[in-house]
Amino acid sequence: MLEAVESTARSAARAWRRARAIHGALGGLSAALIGIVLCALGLELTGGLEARHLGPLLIWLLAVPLGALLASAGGIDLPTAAAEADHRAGLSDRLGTALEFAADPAPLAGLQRVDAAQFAQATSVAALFPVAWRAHVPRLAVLLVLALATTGAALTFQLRPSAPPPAIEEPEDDLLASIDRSIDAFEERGDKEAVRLLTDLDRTIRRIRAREDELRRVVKKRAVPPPPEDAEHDTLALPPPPPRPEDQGPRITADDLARLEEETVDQLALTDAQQAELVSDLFAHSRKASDLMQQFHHEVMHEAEVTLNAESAAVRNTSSGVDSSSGMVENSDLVDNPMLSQQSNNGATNNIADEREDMIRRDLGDESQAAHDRSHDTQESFNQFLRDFVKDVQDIIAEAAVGKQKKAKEGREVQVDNGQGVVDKTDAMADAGFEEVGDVKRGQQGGPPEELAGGNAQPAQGPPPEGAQMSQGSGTPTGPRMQGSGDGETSAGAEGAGTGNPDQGGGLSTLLNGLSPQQSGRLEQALGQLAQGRMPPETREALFDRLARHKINAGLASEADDVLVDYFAEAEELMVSNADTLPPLFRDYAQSYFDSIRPGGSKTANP
Amino acid sequence: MTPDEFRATFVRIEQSVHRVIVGMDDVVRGCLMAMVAGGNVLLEGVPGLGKTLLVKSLGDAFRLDFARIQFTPDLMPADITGTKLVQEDEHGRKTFVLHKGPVFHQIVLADEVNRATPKTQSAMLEAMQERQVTIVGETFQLPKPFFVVATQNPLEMDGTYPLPEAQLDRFLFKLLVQFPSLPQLREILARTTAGAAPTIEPVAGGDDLLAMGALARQVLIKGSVTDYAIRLVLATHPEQAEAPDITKRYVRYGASPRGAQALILGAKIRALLEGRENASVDDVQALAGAVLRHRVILNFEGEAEGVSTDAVVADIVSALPR
Repeated sequence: MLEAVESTARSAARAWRRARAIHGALGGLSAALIGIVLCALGLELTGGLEARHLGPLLIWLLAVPLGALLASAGGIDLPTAAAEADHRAGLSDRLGTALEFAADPAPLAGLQRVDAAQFAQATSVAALFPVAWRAHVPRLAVLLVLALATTGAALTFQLRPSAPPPAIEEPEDDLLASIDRSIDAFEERGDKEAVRLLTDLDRTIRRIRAREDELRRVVKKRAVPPPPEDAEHDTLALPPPPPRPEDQGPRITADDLARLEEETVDQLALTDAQQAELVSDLFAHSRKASDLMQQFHHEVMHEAEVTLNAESAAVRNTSSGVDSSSGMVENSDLVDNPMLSQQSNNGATNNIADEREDMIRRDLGDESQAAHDRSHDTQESFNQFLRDFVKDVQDIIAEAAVGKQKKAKEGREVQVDNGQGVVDKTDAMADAGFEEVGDVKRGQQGGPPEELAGGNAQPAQGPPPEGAQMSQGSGTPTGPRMQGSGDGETSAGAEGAGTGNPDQGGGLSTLLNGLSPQQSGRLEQALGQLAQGRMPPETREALFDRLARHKINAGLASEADDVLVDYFAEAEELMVSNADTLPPLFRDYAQSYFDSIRPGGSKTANP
Repeated sequence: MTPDEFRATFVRIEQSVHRVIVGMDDVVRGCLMAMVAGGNVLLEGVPGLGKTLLVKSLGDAFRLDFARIQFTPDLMPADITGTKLVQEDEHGRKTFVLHKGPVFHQIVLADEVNRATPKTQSAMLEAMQERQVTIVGETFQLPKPFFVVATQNPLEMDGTYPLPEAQLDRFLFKLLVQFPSLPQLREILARTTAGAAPTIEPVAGGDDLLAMGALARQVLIKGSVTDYAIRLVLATHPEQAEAPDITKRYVRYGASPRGAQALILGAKIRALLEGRENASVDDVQALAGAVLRHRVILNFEGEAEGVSTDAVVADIVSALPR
């Protein structure tokens, strides 16, 4: 009797385990399909689903046997199987009770076993543990369709959103490549004019890039001052050039290139008549702009020249008075009272500065302002002008290297570490066309003569360089060379002699900071003064920053402007730091070049 | 007695009772099961539904003597248990003579038991539980089998003394007497208003009832079924972690261990009646209402919301895994 019950219980255990395995396999299949869908979407969204990914995706199907194994794992004992069979067959615990009281000798227990055996034999165990296909099939069908649709769509279409254009490390290459493609396209269309314009543009870009790279190399090389050629000669202890960030301008991205290409195509998509009119306007505009720029510079410099001549006359008069006063001071007790002489000098120079500012403001009439406005309109031609300037300056730097070698061969004495050196230097500068200014000029820069003058100090002539001014400000001479430099230093700009302005220190900075972008006329004037080498480093930096902001605000900033601004800083540092080692002729040539190039920096007459 | 004889006797008694009683199948079976198990039954229903006739019919079917006690507020314990009276014999000597109360019958109907005072109720309930009474310091055993059926009217509650929980627990089952349906009423009228009223012929005796009870206690019940009955009782206690939400919300106090005993005994008897020698979870579930409805005490929230204990027990059964 009990065998029938046990057999039924074992059958129930097997059927139950099989049903659980099938259930687990179906669950694993569902999980596999979900995993395939998710992975396909992930691959498509990240890098694009390809046919080679289908193989790895099918690894998800391993979830089917894994689910079956996990579901069927764990033994099912006979009492548990009998209880489950009782519950599913509605046997009211007959099988379980029979197995539990199998050894009970009570008559009622025997009767119960007989009853349980009869029900066990009449029970179909396989029907008790069916597989719920109806519950799985719809879900599996939906998941299968979803997996196939997702994979097929990902392989067929591009479901992922368009990736943002990556930043291009070398945008110039793409730009040139775009131009080349455009050239090819217009060649096919037979538009020779467009091809010519694009070819010129390509050539210009390549030239600018070559110049920029060369300039960067030179500037980087010059950033570390070379060791002194002659250890016996103390070099001018000027501060190192201020660190300059390397090309911090905005990077050209693929968006910029796409926009440029789109704009170019739009422009080139004009009709022949429109293109001809556009090219004609551009050329006329460029020529007109260049002419207006030159005319404006000429007018502004003419006004500045008149102003500076008047100012120089006043300075000469004041200087002669101060020279006589200085002579008296040397022979009187007033030498112990430097404050008195400084106050007198400052008072005179302040009056001169005020008069000069008034004259400049007054002389900037309507005509100059109109020319200035026109210059803004022709800023593009000015930019091109500046690019040529960069190229020329590179040549100057190359010539400077050659000139330095020549100087070493000739052994020309330009050092100023002792009294003899001062004489030699003064002679050399005089030979080069440089002139000296007296102590009045030095006093106008804010430094007391006693701080710069050595025991055999000569009256300083000409505006002191930036380094000397800084030392004066700190009040600590940097060594014998600095002292000698303070005694006999000359400016690299011949026109700077006698034209020192007491407001060129903090006053000019304040003036520059107060300039609005529209007031570029005064900015150009400041640039002219910068070209004369009379501007302290901090003021110069503020000026360059101002220039950069000015151009950015005016929408005229370009890479060429950035290069130019960087170059101005480096070139100035180069000229000043090598003022006593460069050949005078070269300095003269370079200064003339500065004067002829810088906005408002045309050479002024030396009083 | 064999299980088959058990079932045959039981069926014969049921058929005999139903010659007089129309309908009330569950009540008749419940009363018979309680008699087999040696327990007592609390019948709840409005007056006039045939409760007294049912109890008298049961006594007639088993050839058991029957007594009916109408509980009133002035009913004294001695009126139930009996007393000793001074009696003078022919020689003029006076002696105490025991006058047994109605409780000394084998089947006692305590009609409207909630109208008596608690003191009188306690005397009756002591006899139900101890199967003995004490009269003037002398203890007397009640006859076997002894079966008490108490009734109470759920409507007229004014002037009543509801039975306390401890005394309610003494009843094995609490059966609800429902109003008869139309066919049943028609049958009742046909039997009682035309010709002579039907009479019940005895089909079993007290010994048969005791034998049936002994056989029922031998029915097999495996451990999981017993565990289910225990878990079911525990689920009526709101302080238990396994208790369902309805218990924790509406129940103030759950069933006692007597409830589990009633479940097991009732399941065994029901198994025999179902043709099995083993009790199952189904049997326990079938008797859960009759066993637990008067043992589950609702809290204020349950009383205020009108929740019935039957609903609570049904929810507990449905929420409890097998």
